[in-house]
Amino acid sequence: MRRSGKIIRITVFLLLAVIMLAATFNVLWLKDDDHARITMDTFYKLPKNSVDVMLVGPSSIREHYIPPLAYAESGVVSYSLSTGAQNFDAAKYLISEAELTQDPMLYVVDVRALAGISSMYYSEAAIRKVADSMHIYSPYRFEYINRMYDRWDSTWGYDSSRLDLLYGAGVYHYRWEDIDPEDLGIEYSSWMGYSLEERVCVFDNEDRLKNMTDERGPLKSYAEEILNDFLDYCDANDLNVLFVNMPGDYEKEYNLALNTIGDMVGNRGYELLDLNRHVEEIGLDTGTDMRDYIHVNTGGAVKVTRYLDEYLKENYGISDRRNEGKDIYAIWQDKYASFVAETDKRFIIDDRIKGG
Amino acid sequence: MQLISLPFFAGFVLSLAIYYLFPAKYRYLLLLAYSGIFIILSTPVAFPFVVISSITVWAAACKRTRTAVVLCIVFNVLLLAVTKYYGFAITNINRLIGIFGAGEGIAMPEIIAPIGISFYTLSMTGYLLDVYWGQTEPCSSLLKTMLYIGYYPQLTSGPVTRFADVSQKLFAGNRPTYENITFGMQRILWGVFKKIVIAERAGMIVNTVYGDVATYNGFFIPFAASLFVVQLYSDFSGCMDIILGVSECYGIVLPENFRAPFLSRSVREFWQRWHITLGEWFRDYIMYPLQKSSPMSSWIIDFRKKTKNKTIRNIPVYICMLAVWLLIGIWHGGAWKYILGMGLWFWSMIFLSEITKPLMSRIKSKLKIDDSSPLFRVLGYIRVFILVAVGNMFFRMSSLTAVFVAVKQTFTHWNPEVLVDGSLLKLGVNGNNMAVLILAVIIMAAVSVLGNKKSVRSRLKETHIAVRWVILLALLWCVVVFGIYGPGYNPADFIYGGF
Repeated sequence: MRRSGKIIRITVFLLLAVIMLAATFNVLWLKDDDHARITMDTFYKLPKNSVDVMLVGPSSIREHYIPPLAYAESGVVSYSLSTGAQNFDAAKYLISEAELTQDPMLYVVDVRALAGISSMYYSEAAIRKVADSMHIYSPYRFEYINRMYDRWDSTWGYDSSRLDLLYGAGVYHYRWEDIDPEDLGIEYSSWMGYSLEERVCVFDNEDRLKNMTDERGPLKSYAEEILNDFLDYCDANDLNVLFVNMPGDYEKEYNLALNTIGDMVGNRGYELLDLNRHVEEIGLDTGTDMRDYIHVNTGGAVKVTRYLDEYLKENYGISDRRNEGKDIYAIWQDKYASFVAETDKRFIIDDRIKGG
Repeated sequence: MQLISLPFFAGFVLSLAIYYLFPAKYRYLLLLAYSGIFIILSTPVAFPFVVISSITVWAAACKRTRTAVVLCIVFNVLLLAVTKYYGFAITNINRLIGIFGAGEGIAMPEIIAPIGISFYTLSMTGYLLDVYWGQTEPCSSLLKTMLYIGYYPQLTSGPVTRFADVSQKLFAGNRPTYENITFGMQRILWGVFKKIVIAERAGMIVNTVYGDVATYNGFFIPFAASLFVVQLYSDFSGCMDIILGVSECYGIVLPENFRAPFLSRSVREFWQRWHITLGEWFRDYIMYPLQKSSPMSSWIIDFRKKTKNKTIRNIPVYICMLAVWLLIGIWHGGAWKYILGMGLWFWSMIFLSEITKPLMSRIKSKLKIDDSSPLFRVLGYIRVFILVAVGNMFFRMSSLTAVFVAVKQTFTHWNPEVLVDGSLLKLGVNGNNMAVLILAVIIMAAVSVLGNKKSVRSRLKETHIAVRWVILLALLWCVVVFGIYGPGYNPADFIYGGF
């Protein structure tokens, strides 16, 4: 065989090996039991510059706001870049990632992971849900991992290799044992970052109100540094940002920190919308609309979405896109139809859904 | 530096690329430089050891006198003894001090053994003796001598090489060939498969059982002992495959260390197929010179003249063998468990086998047993496997006492049900992983049998390219998916890596 033939042969073999391993890890990658991968995958497939409102945050965003419903009922074209226990640091990198293909009028950023900052938001699983849902070659994925790696060392005391975080093969290859149909291409149901929740948790609204306060308290750990860093980023990129806090029964310490966050963002010219102070206007019923103390169920999410949409339209001039007749919004309409079909199906199975 | 690690493979690929870019005449210098870097990155303390040993060996070889050679060997063996056996010596001295109540004993200093010292001390001693005996020409270049001693692939776990066998390729400045590189890479892949798919899985079970023989008693212990044989073989031979594969990529063929050892029908044959280069070294540089030494040879001749019994007349030879086996035991480590388990045990088995040979022949003849029949062959393999498993218990367990406790726990608990009631799946490896382990061991055994007569890679080369690629890609897939690696997993050193 000639030399060039040998080189071609080696190259083809290596290429096949790469394709084989990429396909394998596409299956074995992050277990998508809380819709992180499908959320990002769907996001990457959105038509360019189609989103007006981009929501970023942990489960408080994913479970409180329904983008397809927002479009169907208010014409608000939105998307939730939400992953379970997403830390506040991630916001900056997810927004940068979003800016590569979208030009939203407004970013809605949840502050739960800041006011209630804890090691939970910086667990390897939480970090991987963000990092390993993003495109593996994304520069912002690299930046986020670097940031997390530094934070691990300085704050949370983890000891892991940067390379391990960058390339999850070492972690995910063990998943060959628990492959399920979803891993093999059957998609989870996810509606532009929203996931259906039908459980009900009943609690006394008085308990929630008891911990509400107008006092200010210190931010825990590195929260202040993280927030200032994010605000600098927003200023530098001239971003339009609304900070939100979703309804829930929070500890007093959390509410004290939240008020301080409100002051900090206010001082920089941004707004913090504490939806926990608008529970009555939203119409939330703590006897039927919550799935636990800090998350609403689908019935509650419908109410929060309607309220937030009106607020965004009134205060941030978000347009109603329904009558523009553009194809790029068809996916929101399709997802809404799928959402309605799924809630109907579950409504039949379980009478507790009160949405719509 | 771990043999299976990104730095090792990155360094290897980089050095390989630079090696072939270098002018052929100076390629050995690149290997020498990279070996130096490898030593410094692995155990920096080894660097001066290798340099000093190389200088002494080079000087002694050039001088070629009896005094120079003896002094050099004594000096280097002393270095080995000080770094590897000081603990053994001090422990035993302290025991004696304790017995005689002669004081508090000697404090144990912390000395880091240089990487590969057990291997390169044997290689360099063999080289010096070959030079002295006139079997090889001395190497006039200090740098080349240094490369022979410090060549980084073999520094990790051997093999023990002979200067005459490797020097030509080592210093030649080999040209890159498709065959060398693809064969080398295939061998590395196969070695990694053995290590991280088989050895690490088997090790989990072995660690669980040997870590608590009070709980895992009875049949658990022979199960773990058998599995340790699998672990040790896949670990050590896997390591060899990586080393030989790496070296082959540079065009340097190192001697084989394994040749289907479990196709042996006697312990003697087993040691001709297992850690071959070590066995050959002790045969050629200890056993034969000892037998040929004037006091020993005259004793052997006298003894044979006086003794008519064929079995008894070989006693002096067996005594020479005993000395060699005790040294092999000591070479494995400074502890009585090695001397007993890796030395005395195997010598005893060989000795018993030899002296009972006439008796066994008579029995076989009376019972009309055809020992070349397949059944008898298989029984022979099983017998050797069991004997090796017992010897390896000494190798694996922490001390002689632990071995005796384990043996006691084996025979004082009757629980054959654990072999079938699912208990074996609660030893750190679940059903899925056990299935992977069994399948991988079957593949390894099949490859071992296939490779007994003709290299598997040569067989593979003769197949259609599509078949070959499917096999290689499947092997790569198995390594990546079924391998035990990643964060949270502390990659175990190769068992022979600490020698």
